[in-house]
Amino acid sequence: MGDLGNLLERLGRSELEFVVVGAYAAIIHGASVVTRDIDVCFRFTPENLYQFRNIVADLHPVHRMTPEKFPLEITDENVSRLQNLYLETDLGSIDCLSEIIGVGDYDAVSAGSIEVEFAFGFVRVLDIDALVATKSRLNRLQDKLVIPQLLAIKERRM
Amino acid sequence: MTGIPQNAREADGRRESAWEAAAALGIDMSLIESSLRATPDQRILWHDQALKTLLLFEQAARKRHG
Repeated sequence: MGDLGNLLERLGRSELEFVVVGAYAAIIHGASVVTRDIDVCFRFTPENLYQFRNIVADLHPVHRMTPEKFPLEITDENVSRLQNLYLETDLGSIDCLSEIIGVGDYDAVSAGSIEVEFAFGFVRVLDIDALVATKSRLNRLQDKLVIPQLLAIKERRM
Repeated sequence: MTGIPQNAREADGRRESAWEAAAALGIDMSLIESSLRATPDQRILWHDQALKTLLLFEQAARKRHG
């Protein structure tokens, strides 16, 4: 298992309910792309955010989008204001999202996901249709390149 | 306009499959085939190895060019 895989395993072994979305989900489905981060979606409740903080606490998580690279701090004061987290950890980057463009909030994301078995357990992963829906809404070359792969993979599985 | 079809598949009236469409875009479908034969664990392992190599190249390039 590589570093991002180890990060996924950590999350997968925890009690946190989450769905893998983005390019890493496409890779899990079989797409041939390289990404620098894992994107996950979960409900941004205080319980989940504290739980997530505990899962990555020893990985020195910092907010990678801020020039100062502030350490991740979840407090009673800020927990209700958080919507997305873009973090760098010792195992790589992870984006935590409360909703996904083209799909919706966690409930919609979860409804559009499938369970995938790994050696360490089961993880929910956004399904191909929902992945195509979200990537179609993002006007980035990297997203447009993965859509034909996802459609081909879906066709092969039918 | 000559009305000449862009490719033989259009000529025979058959709709291009998603697999063929991806191949026509230049995507190496042998990599997808290989990935589909692998387990999810293998797929993320291969990915993470590729990412590690990419990061090493980037690091070397930064050292070389400052």
